[in-house]
Amino acid sequence: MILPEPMSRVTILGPKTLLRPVVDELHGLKLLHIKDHAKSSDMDIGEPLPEYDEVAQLLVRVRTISSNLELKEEKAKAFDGEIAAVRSRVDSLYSEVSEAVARRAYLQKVLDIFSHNRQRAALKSMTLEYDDGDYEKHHVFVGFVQREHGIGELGRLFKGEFEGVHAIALSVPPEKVAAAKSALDADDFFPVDSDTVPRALPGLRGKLAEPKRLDLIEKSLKEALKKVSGVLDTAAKEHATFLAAANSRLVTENRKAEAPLRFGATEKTFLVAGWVPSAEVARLQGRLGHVAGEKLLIEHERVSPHENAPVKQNLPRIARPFKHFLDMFAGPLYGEVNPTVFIALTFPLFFGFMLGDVGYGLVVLALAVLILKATKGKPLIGLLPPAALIFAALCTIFFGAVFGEFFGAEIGLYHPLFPRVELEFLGHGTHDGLLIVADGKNVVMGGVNSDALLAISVLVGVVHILIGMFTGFYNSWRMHGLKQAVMHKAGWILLMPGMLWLMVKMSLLKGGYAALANSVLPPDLVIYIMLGIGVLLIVIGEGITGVVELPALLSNLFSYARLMAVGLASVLLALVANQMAAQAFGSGNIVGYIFGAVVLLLFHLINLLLGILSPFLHSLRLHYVEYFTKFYSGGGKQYAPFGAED
Amino acid sequence: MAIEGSIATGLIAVGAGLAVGLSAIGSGLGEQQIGAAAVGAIAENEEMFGKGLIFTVIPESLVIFGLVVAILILGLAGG
Repeated sequence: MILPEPMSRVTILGPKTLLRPVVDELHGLKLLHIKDHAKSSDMDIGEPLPEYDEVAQLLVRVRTISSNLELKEEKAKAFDGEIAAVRSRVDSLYSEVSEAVARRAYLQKVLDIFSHNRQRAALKSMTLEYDDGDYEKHHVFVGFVQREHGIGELGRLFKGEFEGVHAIALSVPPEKVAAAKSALDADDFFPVDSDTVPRALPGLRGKLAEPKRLDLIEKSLKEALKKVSGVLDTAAKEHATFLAAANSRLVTENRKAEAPLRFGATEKTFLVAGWVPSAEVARLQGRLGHVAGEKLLIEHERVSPHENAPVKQNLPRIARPFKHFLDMFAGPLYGEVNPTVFIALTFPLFFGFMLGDVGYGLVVLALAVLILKATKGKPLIGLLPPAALIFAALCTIFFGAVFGEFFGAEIGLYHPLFPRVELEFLGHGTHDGLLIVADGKNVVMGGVNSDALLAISVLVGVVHILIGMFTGFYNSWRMHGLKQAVMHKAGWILLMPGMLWLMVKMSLLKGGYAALANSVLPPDLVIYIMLGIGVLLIVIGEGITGVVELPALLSNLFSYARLMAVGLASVLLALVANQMAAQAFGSGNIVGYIFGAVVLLLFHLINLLLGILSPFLHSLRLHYVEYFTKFYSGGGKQYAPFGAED
Repeated sequence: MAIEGSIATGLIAVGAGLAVGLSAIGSGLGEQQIGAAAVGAIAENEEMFGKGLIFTVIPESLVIFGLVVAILILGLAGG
């Protein structure tokens, strides 16, 4: 839960004849996290399996077809027949689809020329140069073809190209008109209308074969286009499932075929190195032994915590949404404590403490549930996992009840933490918990009963940072030994009572909170001694530069004051909204009611958006900056066994 | 509505205001550059949005220190 599963380093050495069965078995087992082989003088990088080229080519074809048919990429069950079956079907489909797509593009371009009335420009791309022959009796076909296959032999052919379309003028003797017509049909010929030709090609000799009107040509073009699109649509419907299945199968085959590129190889042998969870080593050995008998040499050794092995972490379900926060930072090293479980506890608490409003909490909860359904658990804008937001919303409701807040309005609930107090400073008024109401009716900007909130905030900081420090001590002990842990981490822990003492002296903690702090603090003399030893350890462990860092600890603690500050900002905005609306409603006319409603809606909407964003960012920041710096290094790699990629 | 009190109290209030206001200017200056850089990074790669947002709020601590100081100063007046 907190530490990753123990891993073992595994090395498999075998003859190349066993390469394929071993790759197949490893892929099926989904256990080995392969360590890429680094080329060395004794051992080169392996070569891919022989079918690699074929599989790669097929995969490209499948993807070309899919993109031509405009199929969306989706997960599908892999095709489970022979690869040869995939090949024959893909090949025929490929030529069919490519042809249809090319034809569609051609028809589209020709239609474009006609509909933009650019036939003249297109025909001008040809130059007519006649020889001495007698062309006056010839019939001339003038128009566009997709390609030209042997029409040149039938008579005199002039060619031009306009925006990727072949323009032609084919002049044939009368007896060859029928042959020319069928040849042109095969080349997908579309004539240019009889009005345009003489104007575009004044030098044309002979008479125009089969003159046609523009609207008829356009009509037949549109029909042809519709037909070819129909062919593609049918193909898309008919083959979508197969293509998805083939794609998923080929991706797997491709991955297997290129796996040996990550192995080491000599002329006759191959070597795979990697990591396997220690509990699974026996299973790996058994299965490989079953495939390859005695011919494989398999060695394994437990990895020690200071090594950089991949991390396989079994998190409790409830903490899993919070893993995203760690991924955004950097995954933990193999040897260190995974703080996800701690984050799952503290993140929602911090968030809830800052937002702390029953009304907002309920709205956020509803939003979070909706987002969870809409995104299927994927983080919102790559940042906020909705499941984490649900926990945060629950905490918001809880703290809202504690503070007695409902959309910024005091709901007169029991205020266990913030008893009403009289405060004289900014004038006369009562002060209930968070705000001063300056005189009965009108809220001027309030002062704040910040003492309690501030005290709680920094005390939370002390506890949170202490947790971080002790975790750091444990990490250091586990990875580098007790001496290292004492030298580098213990000094800072010894400073903490001093910090608490300082806060009481600075009257950040007052009244009951100061008494609370004093009750856990040792006598002053002990605090001084602990400070002295702490500083000494820091100097020994980190050198004189460590001492420069000392004030940073205090600013880290002050930083938790944001728990109070962010919450206050949102309460005040809500309160201003309510007050403005109350005045507007109080006016008693219709304009006032409308204005009041708009103000309420707009202000609370803005406040709600800020109320999600701000506590979220600040809560996260407290973890990343104040908390993680006490123990977390990160930069480990996640366990991603071969075969489990899809 | 008149607020009554001594000049000393008023000066303390002004001091508290300065503590928050000036530190907010400081935060703003810091965030301005980080924000500009973050937008640049996001233009290159939209996945940077989350990280950019987090980096941008880092200097916000300054205002919070300012607020802590303001509250401590106000404590002088109230207490």
